[in-house]
Amino acid sequence: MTAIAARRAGPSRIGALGRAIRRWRSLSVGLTVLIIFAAVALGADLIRPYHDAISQDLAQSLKGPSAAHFFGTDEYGRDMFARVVFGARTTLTVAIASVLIASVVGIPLGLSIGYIGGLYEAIVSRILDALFAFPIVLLAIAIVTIIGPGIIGAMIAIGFAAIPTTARIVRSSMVAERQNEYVEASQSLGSSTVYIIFRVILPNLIGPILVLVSLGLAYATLEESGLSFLGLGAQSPLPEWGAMLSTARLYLIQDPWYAFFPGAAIFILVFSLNLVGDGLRDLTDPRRLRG
Amino acid sequence: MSAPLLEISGLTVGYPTAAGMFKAVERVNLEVGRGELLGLVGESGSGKTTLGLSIIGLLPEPGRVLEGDIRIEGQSMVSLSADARRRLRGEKVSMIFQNPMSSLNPTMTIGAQIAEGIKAHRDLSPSAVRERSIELLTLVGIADPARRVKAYPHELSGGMRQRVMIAMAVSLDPLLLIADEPTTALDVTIQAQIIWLLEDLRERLGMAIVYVTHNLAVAANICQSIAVCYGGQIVEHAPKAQLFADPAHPYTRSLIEAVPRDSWRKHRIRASAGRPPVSIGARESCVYAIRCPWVFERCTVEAPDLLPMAPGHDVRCFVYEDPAQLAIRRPPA
Amino acid sequence: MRRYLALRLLNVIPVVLIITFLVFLFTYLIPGDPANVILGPHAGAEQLAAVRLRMGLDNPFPERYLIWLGQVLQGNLGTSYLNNQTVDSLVASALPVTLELSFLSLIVAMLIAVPAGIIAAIRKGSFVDRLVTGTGFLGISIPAFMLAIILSYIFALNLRWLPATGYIRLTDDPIGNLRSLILPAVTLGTVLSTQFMRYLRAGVLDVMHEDYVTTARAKGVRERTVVFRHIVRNALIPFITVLGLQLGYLLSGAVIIEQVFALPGMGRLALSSLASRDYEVVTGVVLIMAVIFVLINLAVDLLYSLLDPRIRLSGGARAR
Repeated sequence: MTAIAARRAGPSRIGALGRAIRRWRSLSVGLTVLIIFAAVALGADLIRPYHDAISQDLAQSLKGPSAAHFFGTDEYGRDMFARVVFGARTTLTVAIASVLIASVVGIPLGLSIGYIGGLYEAIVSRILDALFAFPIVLLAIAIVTIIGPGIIGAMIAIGFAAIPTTARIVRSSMVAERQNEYVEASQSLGSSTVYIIFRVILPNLIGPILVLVSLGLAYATLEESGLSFLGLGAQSPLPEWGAMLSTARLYLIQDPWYAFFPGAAIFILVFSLNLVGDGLRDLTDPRRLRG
Repeated sequence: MSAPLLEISGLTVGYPTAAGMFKAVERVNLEVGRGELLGLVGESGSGKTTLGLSIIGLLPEPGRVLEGDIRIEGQSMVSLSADARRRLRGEKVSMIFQNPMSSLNPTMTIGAQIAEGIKAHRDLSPSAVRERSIELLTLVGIADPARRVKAYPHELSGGMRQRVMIAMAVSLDPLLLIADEPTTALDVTIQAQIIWLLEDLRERLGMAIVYVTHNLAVAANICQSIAVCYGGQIVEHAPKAQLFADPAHPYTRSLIEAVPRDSWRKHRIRASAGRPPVSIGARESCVYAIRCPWVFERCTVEAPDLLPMAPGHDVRCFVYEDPAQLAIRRPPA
Repeated sequence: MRRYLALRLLNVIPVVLIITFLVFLFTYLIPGDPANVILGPHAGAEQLAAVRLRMGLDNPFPERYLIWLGQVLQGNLGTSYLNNQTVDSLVASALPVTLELSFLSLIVAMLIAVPAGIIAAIRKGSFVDRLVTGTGFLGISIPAFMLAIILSYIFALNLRWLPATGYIRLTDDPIGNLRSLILPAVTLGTVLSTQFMRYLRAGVLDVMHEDYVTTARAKGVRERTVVFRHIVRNALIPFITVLGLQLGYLLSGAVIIEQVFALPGMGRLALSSLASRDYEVVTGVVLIMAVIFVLINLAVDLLYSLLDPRIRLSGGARAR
């Protein structure tokens, strides 16, 4: 009887299960770290008062880690632990807002050009091509020129820069999904185009879109820290990791710890976002499950 | 007596999986003589393609030969080094595949792809290789071969591409050609042309062909002998006339009964109910026991061997080892 | 092929026009009156009106766009009001730095990624594969400027093998030029290579299981030939498209890296002009970079169509 039971299970299904568990592991590790970062960002005030992150004490400047200052102090003697904790709030706010911008514009655009096609697709695609041609930093420079430096400009720049990629990826999922017979069935019932796109097809694209969003968050975090590093994003005294690194770079010899903690924070956050994105992709993409 | 062209003995091919060793081919014995056309018939998942790939030494990873041997002209393939096996491919054994649309490299001209096989084995001048390529395209019935050698695969139709595949396969006059469902992906009208071409080449070049198919009617049309695969095993092997006159294995019988006699040419095998079994670990029953109408106690605790029931007619079934069972189970032919 | 070329070229024209429109829209949206900026805070109303008239600032938007476009098409990007140099000449001195950095980074990235990606795919599951996949994953999680800081900390500040900042022109001192670009190019190239490795590994894995690879083996072709002629070649062709798409990342990364290593390229020019409110220069840099991006992508597509006979011969458009 056991022989028959083993036969039923089959080799491919058991292998797939093993892979799925491994994927779940990277997904759950990534998600755990992510939840910790989100909790830190939301409850930053419970960990340290905001005052700690901005109050200066020049006598205590550029000190390494100690019991009083877990992560040491910066050039103004500000507590780096508090600054890194509040930096999570800045970075996650910008990253989430920019992915929101990219999604709100990019997803409907991608869905509609993928579904409608034709001249409409040709025109929208050319506009997206043009937008795609602006390297993100230059886009940020342009936006900062217009509205002034700050995290709002960074959100808009990162969000806009991500629109073409978002739209293209959603479009290709849509083109593939449109082939299915259930779409034709809905068309033959006389459903409106908007209804078919958003109520009939969109629910089937949730998997790829979730992947897109989590990898988009990873990318946005990288970009956000880069823009702040260049002085185009968060402005002093708002705690922000990239901006901290930009200053810490000047004190590398005297105080390497200064650069270490914000750097590690960026890396760990992006790494866990990538883990989640990759894990989600493997879970939702049957083609990759097979291999 | 000289060794047969192809001799497979006790061959077991396995793929390691998380659940244990999956045996795609199990204890297969098979002989193919020079110039013979053998049909290897079975439904998908019966292990016939794996068998074909293991003959030419191209098992996909992580598959490997667990037991038994494959000998070509008495030379063991299993014990050869990888490079020695490579030198036999194309030279003595070659293979064509199911889908001619994807079997040719899209970025190389067909001339270059034919030449590549020749150059891998022969030290010929470029002009001699070119001449040979054109000659081969003529042989497989491609018009205007001097121009076609410069064509890319996407410029040719499916039937033409399969002709090119055949030209590549026979470029060095191999002794054995393994044709793995060569017409399945083609239009019905083209199928007959390709089958006819293979039969013609076999006669002209004197090579043997192992024709892998799920279509018993096709095998019945062209093959001299037929081996029926089920669940990774050969369950019956006989000359064609014998097989149809006196099908011994219950699976073979179900296959033949599934095809109305007057429409053999049109119908494919209608599989028996259920899915072919997957075998993992050691076998402790007959592979066909779950679906077999003749099943009795012994079939569920032991696995039968492929044994001769008449000269040249082998069958893997316990019924033929037990006259009492034979009398009860088997209706008179 | 000819049809494909024509289509591709026809696509570029609207894209470039939309880019110029977006850039002009940007100049239009810059707060403050350009006449005010030119004349300074103490200008009288009459003076302002005169300048506004001369610059056509009171004309309707479409007219201003067309006039501006006409100037740009003639190669006139305006003048820096900071030192009266033309934007053209500023760009002409900054652009080679950025292009040189991008080019060297690309070479570094290819030198790392091509062998690593191919070996990882061919020896899938091996130690090398896990190493490549693992470092690739680390690589996409680290910002380029962070790697720049780490590398310059080790090789410039501690070991003192290479300069931490500064740029020496190729024409002044070729060795010094290379030394001044090694750290920036290695930084950007390494980050870029991790993306390339992932694409290449996936591409080679796809091709490895193609039927024509089995066909080549069935012919008795040497394994080395199978790998290079059939697998690698067919995997590299679609990878060319990836190169084009990663170009934006490369140029963006170059801008950041220029800032870290104080290289006088386009990014630094744009950032310093932004700081001094020299908006004509900012506009020029943004416009030129976007157009270069489009042109290089065009070149990449043409290269792709040359290498893939399916496009070269049929003229079918490639799916994006």
